[in-house]
Amino acid sequence: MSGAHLEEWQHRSFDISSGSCTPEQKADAYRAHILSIQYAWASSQLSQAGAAGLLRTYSERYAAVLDSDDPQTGLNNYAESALHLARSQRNLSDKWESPLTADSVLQIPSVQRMIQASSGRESFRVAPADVDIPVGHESRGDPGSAQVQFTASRAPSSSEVNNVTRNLTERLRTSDGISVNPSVVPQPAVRPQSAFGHSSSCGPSGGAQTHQSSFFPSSNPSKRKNFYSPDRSVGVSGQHGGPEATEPRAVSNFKTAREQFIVDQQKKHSCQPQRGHPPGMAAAMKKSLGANRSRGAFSKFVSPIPRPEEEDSSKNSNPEPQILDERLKNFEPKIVELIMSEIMDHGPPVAWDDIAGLEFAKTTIKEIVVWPMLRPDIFTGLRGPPKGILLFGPPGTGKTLIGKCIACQSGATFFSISASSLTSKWVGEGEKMVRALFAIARCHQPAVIFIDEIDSLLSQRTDGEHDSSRRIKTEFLVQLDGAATAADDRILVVGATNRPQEIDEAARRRLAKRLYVPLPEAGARRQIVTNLMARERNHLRGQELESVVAATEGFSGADMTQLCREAALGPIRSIQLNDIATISADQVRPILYADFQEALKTVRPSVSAKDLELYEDWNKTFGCGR
Amino acid sequence: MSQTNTSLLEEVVQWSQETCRQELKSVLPKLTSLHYEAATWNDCLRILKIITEMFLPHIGLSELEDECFSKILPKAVAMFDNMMKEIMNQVGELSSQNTELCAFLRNILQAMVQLIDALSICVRHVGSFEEGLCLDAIRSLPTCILKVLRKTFQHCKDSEIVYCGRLSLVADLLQGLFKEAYSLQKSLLEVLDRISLDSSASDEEVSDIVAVIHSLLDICSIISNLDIALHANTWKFLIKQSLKYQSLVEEQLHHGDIVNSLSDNLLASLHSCVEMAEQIKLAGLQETVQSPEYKLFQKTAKMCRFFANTLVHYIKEFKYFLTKKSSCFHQLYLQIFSKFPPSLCAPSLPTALTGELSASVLVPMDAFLLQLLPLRPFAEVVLEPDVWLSSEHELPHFLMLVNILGQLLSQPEEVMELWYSGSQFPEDTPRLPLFHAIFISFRRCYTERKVPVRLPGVMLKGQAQAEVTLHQHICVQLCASVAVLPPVYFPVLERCLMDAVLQADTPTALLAVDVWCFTARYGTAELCLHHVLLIAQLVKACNSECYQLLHLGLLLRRMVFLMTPSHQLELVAEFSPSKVENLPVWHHVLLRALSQDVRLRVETEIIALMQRVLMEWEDGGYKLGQVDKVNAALGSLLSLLRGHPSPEEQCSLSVVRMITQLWSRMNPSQLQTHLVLQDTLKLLLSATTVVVKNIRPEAISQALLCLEAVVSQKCPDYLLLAALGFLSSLGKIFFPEDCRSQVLPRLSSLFGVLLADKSWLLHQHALEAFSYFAGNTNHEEVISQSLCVEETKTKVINYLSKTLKVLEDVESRLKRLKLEKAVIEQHNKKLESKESGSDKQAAETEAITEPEPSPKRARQETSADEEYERHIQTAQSSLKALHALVESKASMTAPPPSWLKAKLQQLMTLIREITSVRHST
Repeated sequence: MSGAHLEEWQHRSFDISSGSCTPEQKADAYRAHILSIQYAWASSQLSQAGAAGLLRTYSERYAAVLDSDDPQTGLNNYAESALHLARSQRNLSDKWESPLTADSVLQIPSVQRMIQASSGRESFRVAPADVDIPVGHESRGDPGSAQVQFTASRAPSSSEVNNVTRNLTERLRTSDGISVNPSVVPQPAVRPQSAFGHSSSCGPSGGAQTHQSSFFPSSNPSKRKNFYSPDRSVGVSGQHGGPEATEPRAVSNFKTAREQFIVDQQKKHSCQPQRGHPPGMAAAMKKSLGANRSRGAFSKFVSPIPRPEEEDSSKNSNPEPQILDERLKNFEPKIVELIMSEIMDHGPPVAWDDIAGLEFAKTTIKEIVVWPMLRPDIFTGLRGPPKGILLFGPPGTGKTLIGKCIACQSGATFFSISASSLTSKWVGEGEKMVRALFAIARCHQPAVIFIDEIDSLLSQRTDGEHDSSRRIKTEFLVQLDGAATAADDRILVVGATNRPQEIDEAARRRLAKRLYVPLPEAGARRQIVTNLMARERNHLRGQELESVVAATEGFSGADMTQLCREAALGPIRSIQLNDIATISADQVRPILYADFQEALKTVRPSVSAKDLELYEDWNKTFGCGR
Repeated sequence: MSQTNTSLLEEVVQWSQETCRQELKSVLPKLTSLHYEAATWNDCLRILKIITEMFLPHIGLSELEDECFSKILPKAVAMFDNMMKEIMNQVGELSSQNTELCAFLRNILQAMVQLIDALSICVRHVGSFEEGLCLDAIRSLPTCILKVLRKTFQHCKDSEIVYCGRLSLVADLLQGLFKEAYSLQKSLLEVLDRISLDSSASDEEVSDIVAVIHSLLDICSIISNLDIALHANTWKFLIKQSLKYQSLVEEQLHHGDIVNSLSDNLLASLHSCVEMAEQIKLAGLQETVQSPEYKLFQKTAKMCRFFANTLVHYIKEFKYFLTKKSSCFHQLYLQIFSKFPPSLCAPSLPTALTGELSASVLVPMDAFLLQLLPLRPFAEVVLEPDVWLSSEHELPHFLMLVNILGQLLSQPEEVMELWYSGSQFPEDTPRLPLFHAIFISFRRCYTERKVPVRLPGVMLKGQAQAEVTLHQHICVQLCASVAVLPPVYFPVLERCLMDAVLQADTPTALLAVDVWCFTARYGTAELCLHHVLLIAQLVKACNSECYQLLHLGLLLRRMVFLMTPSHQLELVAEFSPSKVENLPVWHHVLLRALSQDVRLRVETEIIALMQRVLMEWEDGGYKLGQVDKVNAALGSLLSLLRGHPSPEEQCSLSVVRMITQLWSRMNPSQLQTHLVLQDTLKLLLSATTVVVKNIRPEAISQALLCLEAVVSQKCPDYLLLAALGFLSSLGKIFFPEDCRSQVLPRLSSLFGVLLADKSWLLHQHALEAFSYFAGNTNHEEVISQSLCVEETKTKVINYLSKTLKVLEDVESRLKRLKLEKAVIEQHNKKLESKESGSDKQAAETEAITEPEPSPKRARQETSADEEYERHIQTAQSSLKALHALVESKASMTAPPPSWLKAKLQQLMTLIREITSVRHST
């Protein structure tokens, strides 16, 4: 029986030491080790003390894998998967409160049992009769040890002890001076935020809300984190190098704009002044791409404590090739990665109620996007959802917002693609991108592909146009509904445009639902103003609100926002210039109707009546709305 | 039959359509009464035919029931019953020789066909009315026809038994009968479908409808094996009707029967699907998609999907009438999931078929669960504290809980409350918080964890969906639900985590610790600090021999990594390492978790404390009674060294000095008699392992001397493990010429002994230690001298060349794991029951009679001698302690407790018994 255990153990330990197994496999192997130890203990092959020692050893190794956030060696507490599952839901962790106190924890039955067991098993490790036996006494006469001479067999004298202690205290003090004296260092470290992070600014609407993000780790350097790596023994002295090295840069007078930006970011986010982290800075400069925008300044969480092992982090920076889906293996990894980065699997939480008006468009979208996701079994055959939707209308009316809302509410994988990322100067690359996009979407069904300004991608095919752009179009049309697509693919393409008349007629056919997103009506405008004003101090009476609404006929949603911004600046403008430095925030007067009247003088509708007519006509010809 | 009657019939037969219509009013009553009085089946049938064929077309809808149906149909049903009875009575005699009987039976069957034919005409006539069809107008029609249909189908179903081997004699007629019945039912259902009742329907109508539904249910259970299409259509109609009149009939329907029947049908189809798939696999047919077997399989799978969806639909509409069925639903779910991988008892089927089957059955099961979530009784059944499940249902139950956890993310407040918070009041049916139930269930799935079974993981960013272990699966799911946990339920989560950490099963505690760490990283920093302080407090309160300490220590160690530097300072302030009573906390903290300044402070304090303790010990004359204190300090020192192996130079100097000093007090002969010194030795060995490079060779030599003495006799395994660590670290040491002669032979003999250890875990660690040593050392001669035993040599060489024996086959492994599960469960139970024996005296007597916490003496691989010795030693020391206690108490006023004498007497008897056994053997 034990033979089998030994075999299994060896298999696993060879796997672990082979260096070719993923962190998941490593964690599994350690867990299996722990199970084996437990069984050995249970079947009396191992004493309790022996089991305790081994369990401690292997659970430490296990923890090093599980809690580490290094993607090569650690699992980061499975946060990526867990937060992916919890995406687009509210995070309330900052409101968690533990009701346990030092006393009440002792009232928990399981704790009480433990305490009772502890007190009940007061062991007599030393028999009372033996208490006075001197340890090692006989050894003086022992021939074995007599040969061994100890020069330092005496305990250190008290002066020596003091010496050591003083030395250490000295060191302690010097290190305090450098950076970590708790009374000197400002401590934003205890900001109530999760270590997994979520950027606090997420679009104009998400100001007050936090939401789940599966981007991880994120830019929240103010939070503690783990560094459960076993080889942090590089030495204490090396750790002083970090802060000192970056010090000069911080105090020198001249700063480039880029440096200033970094400094600002660090001031904002970091609790430790000027812990220079070259990788972090590099990341700060990296152009954010697609959905990366919410990551903030640092692409990687930076620990509040210097990490000596970062110096040698470069050596394991050769990323292992990701395991890709079988269906994607024909595509270049670079293309796949590019498309992947445009998956927006978290959006700022936008609810349908956040979109003012547009009831018809909303109902239609719910009908063809949200419900089929919930009940795919009903929406089959003739009821099958269309493969494409076109949202068209004047600019600033909420087409993109609807896209975001679909991302949030549908539960589907949401690709937000800009037309430019699908086009490439390399001939042939563009088609590949389109094909890869659809292939990836097929791996992630149900999926929604949102393409803003789709007219630039699918404009009329003319004779004069460049061959490559024509091929991209063709590929797109084929992928959207062609021989290659299966009837049960659950992929929806949502296009948004304000130039519907330029769309190719074949594309128009494939975007079967064409929804007109018109200018907001009076009710919608009222809602916009009310929503925006709800966050500001204002004295706007019902009647005044009505007259604002009446005066903004022909305004788009964006115009309304602009108007409110302008009006909100009114109170600030009324402050004298020399007061602005001293005035406190609550002394600023509330926003009044007069501010709106002022603002209406400067803000004009951005859509002309002639443009509107064009949309109305197109809607009459091709639209699916009323 | 009288003459007049016969003549009337003969006359009537001659009539034209027109005459029939004209004479209807006068003749029909006569005919119906004739029919009623008719004595023979033939007459009866004849009149029935005349009525249905000639006169029925002329009867208006309003008179139909009163004038005709209510009069003729009951009689027809009675006649049909009689025929059936007659067949049953006579059929026993049937044989191919008995042509007379054969002809008789065939006649009856033919008559039955005709009767059904006549009924069909009735139905068709009713169906021909364009509008105004209402139930009142045809009341007796459905009831009577359904009775006939039921009898017919039952007869067809039983025919094989009824006719035994003579079925061939009547098979053609039976088939005809079935076909007629089939089409009769079809047209009846069409008619019924056209009827509509509104909310003002009379009670009678409602009860009629209910009766129809129930008789259809009856028929369904009969035809389940006869004809798939008929079965499905009948079910469809049944469900449709009950939904159509939902508000009218919901109070009267036998919901339980309907649901039972649906689940039975679902399970039956699933079973036959699985059987078919197994046959397909055996016959190697899976390649041929067109084979009839495969088609049948697909058809049955479709039925599975139909039943599953119907069940879900039905539950959705009538869930508040179905609360009593909660435990059936639970069982259904378990039974279904135990048929699919990863359940260990699932049959292994071709993947394509499994995929198809799970798409038809498992997908609706999610919706099924979703419907049941708001039902309190269902929650009570699932979360029952002592739910007993057979071993193959453990995993499905676990998966169900996990599935519920996942679905809860998007449920309304009250549903979350129902599942998350457990029963609140004593009068509630007790139910566990969901988190707690999950931990319990996870603990029970030992075999599945050990195999380990694989579940589909979370799909991320275009990477192929990986298969993950149970632990990872549940860990991810738990973390996801923690990530969106509303603050109200946080205390519940906290309690469940605490309970899970403090229970006996280490892998379950590990899961709880994983989740706790996620919670700590996800929540606020203050929360983390708060938890760490609580845990540290518990660690401090916990005796070092409790299994809980192991789990708490692990949790504490990982949590400290997640604290902010300033919070770490608070921890240090709260549990200052300079106080002896706080040392248990620092045993468990890895110093590399601390920020630099905090670490320096802790280092300084622990080393200073260690020095103080050592000095006191020295001043007191190295008394054995003080060794406990030394051990405690040494434990923290070890933790310091492990966590941060290269401390400041000053520290390491004094550490080395202290270790050297301690080594000088180690004496092999004392080590044998005083267990507490073995602890010291173990700590000392581990500490030396870390700083071995700075230790003088003399001290190493002394250590080896002690080790040799200890290992040569009986020695606990933890000591051996520590020794192995120490020995392997010696590979890095280059011994000077003068001490080689002492050190190297001891080294090789120690390796030789340890490599030959019988316990597999020790053996494995010895192999690891030896190969590490061999890879580093400059003293190659040790290697060859350690391997002088041939058996050891081959083992080592095999290990170094990584040759592995083939693993045992899956089945015997599974069998072994199931046995192991029992051992582990018993072990855990024992650990937990021990702690509840709170009484100190109980614990004491236990310590005398049974000092070893391990439960079951399964096969002992260590020698029996060692066993005896250990027990005797413990008994001895306990008795000595007792003696001292009695003496000290006697000198004071308080006498020893009265029960002591009796207990001692018992012990005496026990000792006598033991000695007598020895003599007799």
